[in-house]
Amino acid sequence: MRFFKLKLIIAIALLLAFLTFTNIIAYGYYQKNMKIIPIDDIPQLPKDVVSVPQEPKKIVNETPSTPVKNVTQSTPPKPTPPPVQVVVQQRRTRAS
Amino acid sequence: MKENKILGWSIIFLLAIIPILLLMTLGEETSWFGDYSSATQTLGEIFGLVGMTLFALTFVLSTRIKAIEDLFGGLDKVYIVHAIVGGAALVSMLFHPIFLVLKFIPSDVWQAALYLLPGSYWSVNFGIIALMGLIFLISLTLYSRMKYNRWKFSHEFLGLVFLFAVFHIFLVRGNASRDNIFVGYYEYAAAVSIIGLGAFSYSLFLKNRIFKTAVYRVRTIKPYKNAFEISMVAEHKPLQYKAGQFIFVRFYNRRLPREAHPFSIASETNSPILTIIVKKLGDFTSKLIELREGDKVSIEGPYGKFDYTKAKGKNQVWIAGGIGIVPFLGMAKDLEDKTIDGTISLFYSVADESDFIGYDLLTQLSSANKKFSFIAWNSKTQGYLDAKKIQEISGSVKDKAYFLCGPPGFKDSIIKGLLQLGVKKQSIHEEAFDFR
Repeated sequence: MRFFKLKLIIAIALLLAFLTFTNIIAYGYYQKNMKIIPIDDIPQLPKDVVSVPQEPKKIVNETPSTPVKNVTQSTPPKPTPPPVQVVVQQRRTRAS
Repeated sequence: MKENKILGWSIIFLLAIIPILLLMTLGEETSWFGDYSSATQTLGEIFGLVGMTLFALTFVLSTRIKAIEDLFGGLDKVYIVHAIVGGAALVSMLFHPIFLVLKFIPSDVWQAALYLLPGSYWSVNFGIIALMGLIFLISLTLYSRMKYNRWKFSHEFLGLVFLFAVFHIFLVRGNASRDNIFVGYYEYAAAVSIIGLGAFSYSLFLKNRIFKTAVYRVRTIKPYKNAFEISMVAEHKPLQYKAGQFIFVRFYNRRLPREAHPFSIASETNSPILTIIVKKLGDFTSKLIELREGDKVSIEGPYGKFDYTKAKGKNQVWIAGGIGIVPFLGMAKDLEDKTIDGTISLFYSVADESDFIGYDLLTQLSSANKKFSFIAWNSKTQGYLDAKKIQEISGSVKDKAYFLCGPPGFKDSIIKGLLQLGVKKQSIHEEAFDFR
């Protein structure tokens, strides 16, 4: 093939330039738009803390259409431990 | 001027590294490579300026100036240099933004990304347009097989691309321009711009008016299976040329596109009847059937240094593949009037027997001249012609001069074989008739 070496060198150079440019643009855009939390800033939780699934809340109409009188509870509400919500914010890695 | 490729390449190299030399000699005391940021910035700017210089030189190389042709040993070789320099310009210009953005990578990648995208700074936008244009047009040249006239038309847009690059180097505020990376930056940029734009304008607008093109008229058209033989006679003063050279031909026929195409001369030295043989390779060459006797033809040239007389006194081997026989036809006809010091063997390889052009003429010439032998080679029945087969037929391959013309693959394989058999590179002369 005519100019085979020249064609090969230019093809490699173009490919490398394309990959460099697109990576920089993509990663730059990502860095600008995504808030990155450093791994050190994620609170460390004790090992024995287990995530407790939260029971689905009953939907209660706060303003009932009819007034409710003499509402008494037959049994006192069972104290439940406050739900522990574990939020793991994973460190984002470089988009490529 | 005597052929001196080393001198030619040295001149190109020295001109290309002028920005580096200027930086070294005229740069200020400030350390341009003191830290990461300044080193990447300086390298980026140097690559840009080296690329601009090479880009300007490609236009100079395509002016067809005789001194340049002489230096590189023929216009066909100049166009090879032109292609390599153009490729080097593109690679250098690709490094220009890469190094410039590397400066920002450690601190802010988005800042680096913004550098590569068009924005509100037109000084930078001109550079981006120029680089994109250069990538597109060079890729089109190297990787597409478009029609010659379309390719030539697209190639002329490189002048516009260069103009955008000129705007960029004058308007952009980099270290080089703002802080004078070297004294005389603007003078250097102006010189590069004037040389590049001047050479381009000369090729596009002035060359055809300044160069004396000879006017010929079509005399006969002889069709072959896959080619046409066109004979022409001069209207006024005939062209002076040597057998083996080539010309740029423009036909004035309303059914044919009016662009100039390069063709090898098939007639003997300074023959008043100028003959070319054109293979039906594409759209233009297939349309040559439309040519009529008496049609006007403008001829520019002659060009090329495919001259067998420069190997006088030596035994010669001429090797032709397919349509590559054309220059040898003129050279063989030349032998009729000349006394040959050594022997000449012409190997003519074709893919099929019906592809032979000038078979009878060459057989006749070899019967009339004992020092000239003609070996017709049909690769369909005899296998591919290679250096070993040439050695078997013509004897020792050393101390002979070789002249080759044919398709690139054919030539390359034979040259490789000859070099392996111990033939010196200086003894091999080739004609590159593909200009893209």
